Amino acid sequence: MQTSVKLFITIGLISVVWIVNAQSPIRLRGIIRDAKSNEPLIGANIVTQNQSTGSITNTDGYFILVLNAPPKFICASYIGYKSDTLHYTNTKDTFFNVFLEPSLLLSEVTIQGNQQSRAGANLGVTSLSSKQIEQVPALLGETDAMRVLALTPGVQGGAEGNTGLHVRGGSPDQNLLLLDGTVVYNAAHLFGFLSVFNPDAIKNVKLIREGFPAQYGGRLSSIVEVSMKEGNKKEHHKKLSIGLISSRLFMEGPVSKQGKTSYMLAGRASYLSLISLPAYIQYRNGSRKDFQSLWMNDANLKLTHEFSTKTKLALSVFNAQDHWGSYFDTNSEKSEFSLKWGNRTAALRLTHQSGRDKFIQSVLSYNNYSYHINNKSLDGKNQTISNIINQAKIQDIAWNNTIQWNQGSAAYLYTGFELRHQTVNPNFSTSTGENPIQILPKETQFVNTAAVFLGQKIESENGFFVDAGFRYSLYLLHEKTQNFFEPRLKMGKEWDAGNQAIQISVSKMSQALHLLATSGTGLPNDVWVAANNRFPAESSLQYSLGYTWQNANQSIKWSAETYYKSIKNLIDYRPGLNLYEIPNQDWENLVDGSGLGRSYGLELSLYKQTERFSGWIAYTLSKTERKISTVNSNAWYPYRYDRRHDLAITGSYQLNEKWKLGANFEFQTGAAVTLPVAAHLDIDDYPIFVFEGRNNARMPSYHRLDVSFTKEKITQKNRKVLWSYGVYNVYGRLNPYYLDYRLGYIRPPDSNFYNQLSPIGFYSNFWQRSILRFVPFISYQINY
Amino acid sequence: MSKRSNLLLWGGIFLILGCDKDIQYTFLNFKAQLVVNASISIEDGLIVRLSRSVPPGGDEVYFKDLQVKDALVQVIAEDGKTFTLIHSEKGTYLPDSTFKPANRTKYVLKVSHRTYGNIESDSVIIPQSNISDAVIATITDKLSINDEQLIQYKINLQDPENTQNYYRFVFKNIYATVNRKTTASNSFLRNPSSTSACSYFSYFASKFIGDECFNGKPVTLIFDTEIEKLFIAPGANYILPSDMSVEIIYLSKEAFEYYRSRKVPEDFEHTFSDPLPLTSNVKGGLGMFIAYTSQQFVFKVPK
Repeated sequence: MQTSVKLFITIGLISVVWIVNAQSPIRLRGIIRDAKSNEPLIGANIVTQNQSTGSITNTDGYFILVLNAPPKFICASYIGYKSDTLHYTNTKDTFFNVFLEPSLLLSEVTIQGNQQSRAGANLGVTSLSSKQIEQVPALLGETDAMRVLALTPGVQGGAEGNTGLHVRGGSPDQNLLLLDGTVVYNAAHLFGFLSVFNPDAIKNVKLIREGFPAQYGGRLSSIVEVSMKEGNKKEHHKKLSIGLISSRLFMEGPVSKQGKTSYMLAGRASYLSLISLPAYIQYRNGSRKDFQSLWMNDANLKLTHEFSTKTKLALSVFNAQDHWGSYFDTNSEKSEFSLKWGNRTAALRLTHQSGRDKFIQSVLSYNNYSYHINNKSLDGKNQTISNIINQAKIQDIAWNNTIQWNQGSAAYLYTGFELRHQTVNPNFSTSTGENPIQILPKETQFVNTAAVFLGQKIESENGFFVDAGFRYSLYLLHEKTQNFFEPRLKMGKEWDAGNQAIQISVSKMSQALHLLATSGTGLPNDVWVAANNRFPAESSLQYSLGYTWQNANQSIKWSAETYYKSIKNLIDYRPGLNLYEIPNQDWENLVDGSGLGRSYGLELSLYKQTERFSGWIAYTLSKTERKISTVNSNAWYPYRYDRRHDLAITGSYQLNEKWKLGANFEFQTGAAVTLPVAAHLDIDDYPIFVFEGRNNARMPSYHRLDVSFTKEKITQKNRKVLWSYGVYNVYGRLNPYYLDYRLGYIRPPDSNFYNQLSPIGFYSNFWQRSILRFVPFISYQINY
Repeated sequence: MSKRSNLLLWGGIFLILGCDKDIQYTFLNFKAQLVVNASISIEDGLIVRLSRSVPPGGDEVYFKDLQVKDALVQVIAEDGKTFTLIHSEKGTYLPDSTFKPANRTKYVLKVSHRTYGNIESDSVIIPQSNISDAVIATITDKLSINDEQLIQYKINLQDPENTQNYYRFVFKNIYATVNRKTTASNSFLRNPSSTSACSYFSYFASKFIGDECFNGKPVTLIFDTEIEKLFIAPGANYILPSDMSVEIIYLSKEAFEYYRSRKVPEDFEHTFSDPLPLTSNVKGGLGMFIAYTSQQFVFKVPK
């Protein structure tokens, strides 16, 4: 395996040497912006008409084209915007802004001339703008980027209604979730029904599932890069959205008249608990014994200041909190249970274009994720009987630096380093009161990460493209030091004027954190723990091969990709663990390590867009397995979300100027599940099921259709109003959330009461529980 | 604690949004196997029950149809002596009066059947009892979730360091005419020498506690139990228990694991937990051969 990786890298580096063509080039640099807000556009295309040389803007909207001769025309395009063709006559290095007008139509680009984006850029990467995310019908009208990503090739959602992502057989903790460069540890609101990413605050979401660039590390399966809007630099805007679960308020605008500083503020809060307000009043009055409440809120703030066209500083702050409370009160006893969890992040991001050909990005970030459970019992006189606190937290301080150095015709070197200090408090409980149990907090664990990376990216005029590099990660753990040399290579060839491409890639990744999860549902009390001697850092190695084709005007694209991924050092809770034991135990005594994982599959996708229609079909054929010594006698067994077939069809159609129709259909092989294979009497003469091993059976297949209609209206005060109506699971398919099996006793018909208590036989059956069957929704949005 | 509460929330959500339906699930490769449920102790002697397994999700099954009454059942002591058991009734096999179980002696069980084949168990040893101390019971002013009065009792336990016993505690309310097992809520173990909580699990009216709780040190078990009023028969009055009993059953690790694996996740617990394959110490079939010792404490219910 290692030899093949080295061979791959060698081929890549030879290709680099062969392809680099160092002439005296002209450098065209600049930023592609929204013409109305001045906001930089991420992932916009810019190409020369006569040379077929192109570039894609980075997370700051920045691009650079290095050309051997001045082009006559330059074309810029971006999803949801009218493309623009610029006449260009200058023969010197130039820096300029390109402004694109938002399009009213669904069609992402108005095609002009030979303008095109390169097909190879789409392989292994999914990039979604906020406009694309909004077009997909949403559960209860709550637009969610993570749910939309689950409809793309190679990505599967977890349980029904949950926002956790399983990318190419990886678990949700193996996704590096970055919000403006800051790691987010738990993306779940309301126990996973919503993700923490407020759709109003999002400018762009990019998911990388293969050929990872060398600057990314610390997770095994994917990179999900969420970029927040910078805010309109010209005008103030507000947007109010009212939905069934939550409402949102979004504000943006310039801070200074010069338009150099802008702000973006987005807030969101749920009001599920308002439904139970009468119950709360009754509880306070003493006419009701119990009461429950569930709240969530989040806020995003971003301030951006452009010192010059070349230097920009941005401060992003994010706070997301959830709270669930359960209260019980009788005359003699009172209990109060509360569970709080949340993320807090802050990032200071400096970007600078230095000299002719360097682009520097420096991010200083902080994050904190914690959960806190408090279970308090009081007697009738309000004296504390017991107070049990269970909590865990993880926090990072990190500094990431990247320098991109352009070197000639469409080639650049990128290098940098990452320093990260992580503090992990896995799980600690304290108890006071009548029955004190003092569980001492386990010593705080630290993971200090120092990583350096170097990469070379080349896109030659003859169609070859290479992104070759490595990342060296050094993890200073509490008890040991681990280091990983992580080669990364992505290379391929484009032909047919950039409309066809083939790509191969290999990536090694490492992860010094484990997530102890009792399910794939992203519950807030899943616990992050640091790797150590017994449970070393996880690592993965992934190979992939892909081909893509697009027609000349890019209205149709399709691709086929195949991959193989292996994972080492997975950990999992011991089989058969009593759930109620978990909070009071040292985690190391609850888990088994040295687990292996493997996943391989084929992903097919077809994208189609016209002026009125936009949509895609994504199909994944895959197999994902796990192997842990104490499970299933150390044999390979299916991962819970191993789905052989996964099909998603998504589309939206502009019916007329006012109405838009959206629909998506999903089909998935049923998740793996553990079911009994026999029943018999046990030693106490009770009937009992016999289990063979973990995930020995399958749930019924999952499928559903969602439909939404959106009406857009401009009011007399020139405010844009959107009404959305729709239905999730329109044909009411009873998709199983889980399968269960039950045993029942057959009792004798006997006049003697106690004789009736002794069963004479039993019966057993299987049943399924389904949620979210035919869920209609309505939402309202006003922009002003 | 946290899990329990999360499960409650999910339970609430399911109640509001959930739909249930029965489904058919057929395992094509099912083959009936012989099941042995056997126990040996000084107090109760050797009891072997034989039955057969059935496919899950099938029709109603009556115990009498599962019982296997025509097998050859033998127990072999450590010294090589073989005792043949005789079918008594309902698939139960008992030794004759010449068989006397002894402490610290290994026993192996062998079963032969013409349809289901042969079964042989691992060897088991009857554990030694080693705990004894007084039970202190006090009535509390707390009510259970069923609004019944709670009684708290404390048991001082002493486990010699050289034993590897696992414990099952069975709680009973003793009434005038009938004894009823009861649950022990809010139970925990206080071990002054340990900073971590002991792991235990509950199954029906029993608590199972591992050896690691003791480490040769004295510990105090504290339980709150209901003083459950008993409904004897239609038209009759409710009665209160006169006594309570705590039976301490000493088990081997294998037996402890058997009971642990018998506890199957229920209802929405499935989304969080997987059931275990049932622990077995027999080859050629299913089931368990358990050796145990028991001690019982009876005390008056405080008035």
